Amino acid sequence: MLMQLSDKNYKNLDDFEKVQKILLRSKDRQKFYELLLKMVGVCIKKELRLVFENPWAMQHYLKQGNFLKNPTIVDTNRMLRGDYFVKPTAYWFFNCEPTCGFTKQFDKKKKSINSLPPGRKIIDGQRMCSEERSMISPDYARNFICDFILGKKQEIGQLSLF
Amino acid sequence: MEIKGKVHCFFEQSGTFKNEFKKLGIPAEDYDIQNNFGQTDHVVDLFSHIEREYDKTRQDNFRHYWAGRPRHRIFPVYLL
Repeated sequence: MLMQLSDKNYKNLDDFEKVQKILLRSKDRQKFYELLLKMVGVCIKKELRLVFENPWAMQHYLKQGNFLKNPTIVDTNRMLRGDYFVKPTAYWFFNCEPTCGFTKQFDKKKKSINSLPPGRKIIDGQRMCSEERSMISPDYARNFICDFILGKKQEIGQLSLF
Repeated sequence: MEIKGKVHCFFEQSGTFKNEFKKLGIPAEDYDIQNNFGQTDHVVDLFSHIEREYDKTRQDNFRHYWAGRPRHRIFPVYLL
C-alpha cells in the first residue's frame, strides 16, 4: 500500500520526502474511501442493488475492519472462471444477495503481474500500474454474471468427474 | 436474481461487463470518465455525480426527519 518508509517506490527520496509522499497518498486514500462510502450510502437509501469489487490482496485497507461490512464473496482464483490472473478479488452486494453457481473454465495461460509491461511514467519517475493488470477477461465477466447475479447454468464449462 | 430494468456499469472494466450483460440479453450501459476504446456510453465524471447525489440524498433525509415532527419538540440549539 506504499505507506512505509522502506517501500521500494521511495528509494531515491530522503525520509522527510517519503513522509510527504505518504501524506499525499493517505489523503488520496481517504478521498476515494469517502466516495465509496457515499456511493454505498446513496444506494442503501434509494434501495438500489449494488455490486462492486476490489482486489483482495494480502495488504488491503478494506480488510482491516475498515468498511461497512465484510465482502459477500471472495473469489480466490479467477483463473478457474476463465480469467488470465489468479488475482483474489472481493465482491460486496448491497440490497441483494448473490446466487450460487460455478462455471468452471480453466483454459487460459496464466499471466503474472511481474511479467506485464510497465505502465506509463507519471511524475517523479514513478510509474502507473500496467493497464493490462486491471483487465478482466470477457469469459470471466460472463461467468461471474451467470454464477453470482443471474444464477444461470451455462452449457460451456468443464465437467468434473464427481 | 431477476433483473427487470437496465444494468448500469461504472468505472474501469465497465465496458467488459456491459458487453457481457448485453450478450446475455440484459440491457446495460456503462459510465466512465475515460473512453479509451471508443465504446463508453456515458463519458462522465462519476466522482462529481456521486458527491452531488450524496449531498442531495442527505438533504432529503434531513427534511424527512423533521417533516412529521410536532413543532414544539424541535429545540433550536445555539452554541455559545
